[in-house]
Amino acid sequence: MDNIIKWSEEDQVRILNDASLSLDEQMSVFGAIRNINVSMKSMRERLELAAEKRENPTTAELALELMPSFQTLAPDIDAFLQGEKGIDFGYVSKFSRILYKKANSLGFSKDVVAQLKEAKVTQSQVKDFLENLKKNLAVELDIEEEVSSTDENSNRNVNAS
Amino acid sequence: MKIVIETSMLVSASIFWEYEDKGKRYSLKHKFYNKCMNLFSCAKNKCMEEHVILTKTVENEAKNALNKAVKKTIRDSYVPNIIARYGLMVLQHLVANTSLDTLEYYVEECSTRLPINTKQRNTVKQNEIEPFMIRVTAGTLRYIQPEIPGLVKDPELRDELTRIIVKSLPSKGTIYKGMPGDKDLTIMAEATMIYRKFHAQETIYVASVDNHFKPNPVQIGSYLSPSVTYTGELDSTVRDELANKFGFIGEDPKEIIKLMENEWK
Repeated sequence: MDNIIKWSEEDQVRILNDASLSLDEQMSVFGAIRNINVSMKSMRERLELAAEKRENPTTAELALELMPSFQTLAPDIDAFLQGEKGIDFGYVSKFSRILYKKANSLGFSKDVVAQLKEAKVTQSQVKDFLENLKKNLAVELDIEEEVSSTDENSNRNVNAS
Repeated sequence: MKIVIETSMLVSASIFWEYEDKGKRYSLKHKFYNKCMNLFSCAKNKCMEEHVILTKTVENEAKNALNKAVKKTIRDSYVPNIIARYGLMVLQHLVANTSLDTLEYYVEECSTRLPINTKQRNTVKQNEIEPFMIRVTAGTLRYIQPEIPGLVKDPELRDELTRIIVKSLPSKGTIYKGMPGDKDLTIMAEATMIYRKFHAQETIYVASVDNHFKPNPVQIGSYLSPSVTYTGELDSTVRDELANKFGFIGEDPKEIIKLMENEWK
């Protein structure tokens, strides 16, 4: 488990450094590796706690329940990291999302603040990202004009205080 | 009464993300989040989820729109520094997944899906909706823009002149956002098919925050202009023509909630 966590941390950075990948491919593989990393870390923490408390194997059972989701995703990620071509990124994204949802429902997830701190995300980065996303969403939905005619003026902008 | 959900409505209801750090609160809340989310909540609270119709096209379009906006934001925020780039990817991953969670909750728990024959839908779109919209939108205006000579520079004087000219206009024309894009035409065709499926026995509303579907606010000056103003009137001419011809009524979620509350007491 420790090895998987360590490799998945390195691989996230490796993906971002690979200039040959398109943004779609980067997002898909990065997301999948990140989901593996976050759920594994959370699982390790909870299993350690369970062991300390000599808990009935409830946490271990939950962890076993998540294993098939890892196993579905892992071969494609491995193949991709070893340079194989022809990976279906749509498939990777789909099963990565299934892993994310299942891990969350089983309680193997990490707090948002902890994740942002660990990733050294700055406050200004959060603010800029949210402001840009808001603008881009309006453009994408073709409702920029409706901005001014909103009746929810209090929520007009990204509120960063 | 059936309510067909449109893409902008679904996306608006899904965008809410909050983060607090060292006493500072950051939030991403879509400007139409409250009213769009309230519509789903209202249907759920009244156990009327089966009356809220969400088609596969709308679900896919909403996910695509979210994905494209996130991608564009990553490109806009690009930095060569690997630590900052890593942080950006973690952030987008969190925001996108949270929004998708909410979106999927609406799809799975607050609405129902009807089968749509895509061949028939495309025929309705190409042969009925598109020609109708081309004809109807040909005589519409996006906003009223009285011509005031450039030598009048004072903004207050320009505003006053605008108000007087607008007031004296015999007819303000039909205000409409302009010819809808292909995706909107597809949703209009789906709403038409849903109306026909119920043999005109049900009132079909299309819940949307897009002015292509709902009555348009009467606007003076371009939305890009700092002195843009609204008269407070709504022009529902095109929406009503669509309703007369194809049966579906485009409406703002806030108005639909009022109708829901009256009908589903």
